[in-house]
Amino acid sequence: MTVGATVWAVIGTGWVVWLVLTGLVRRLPGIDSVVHAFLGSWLGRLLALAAWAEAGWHLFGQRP
Amino acid sequence: MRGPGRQPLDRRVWPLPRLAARPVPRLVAALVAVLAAAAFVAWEAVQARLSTSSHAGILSAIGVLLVLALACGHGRQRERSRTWSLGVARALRSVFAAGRVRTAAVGGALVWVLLIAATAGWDATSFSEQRHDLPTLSRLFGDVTDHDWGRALLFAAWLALGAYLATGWRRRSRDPAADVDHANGRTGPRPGGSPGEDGRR
Repeated sequence: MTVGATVWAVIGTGWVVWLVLTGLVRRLPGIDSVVHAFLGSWLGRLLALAAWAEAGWHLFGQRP
Repeated sequence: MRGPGRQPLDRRVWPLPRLAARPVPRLVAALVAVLAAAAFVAWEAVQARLSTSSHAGILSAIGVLLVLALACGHGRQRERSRTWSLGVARALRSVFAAGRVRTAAVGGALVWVLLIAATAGWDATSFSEQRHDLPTLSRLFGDVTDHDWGRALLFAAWLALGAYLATGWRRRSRDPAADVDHANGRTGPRPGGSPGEDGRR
């Protein structure tokens, strides 16, 4: 396993564990809270849309 | 110049404004939007990743959703950007000033920030290095997006997420109960009238 693949595995595991944990523990902010926090204002919404646009361009329009 | 016996145009009787003002049924509008999006996804799915048409499609989607965000959001944001920024800054300051995480909510938010930063940072690092042993997210997803069905599914999910980011979680017009002042933890109309009526949000 390469270094890059290992780091991605760790990051991916972190996402899965945290998503499950925030789903189980109601006191912790879930992914919906994070998204809604960004969408609360124009600045946050534009930041979220910029990240979304960059992710789309990266995933669908650039060399893999 | 009107004569003395001439009546002014009664817009309540004149049919054209009434026809123009009649709202398109939401179900029909939603159906048209879904069909158009499905056709667009089907078209984008068969485009080569590095082709001009593929890039044009992605940029078009981004442009359309940005315009949609502006059109739908006029006067309907829940907070002003300045209030929002101050709230974020205040939360960060409280965390660093305290030297430790005092509440589960703040700690949880920090974990989200770390996860997002780690993902974006490592992807940017891998992209800038351009090494085979440092795959980017696009290469990881490349096995899926190399297939038409995989590209279609992921592109549809990306479009749906963008549509939500552009149009979702809005404050209802003329609904003071939905006006939440997160900075002060209050819900309800703000003093001095409903915010957003001045169109500055």
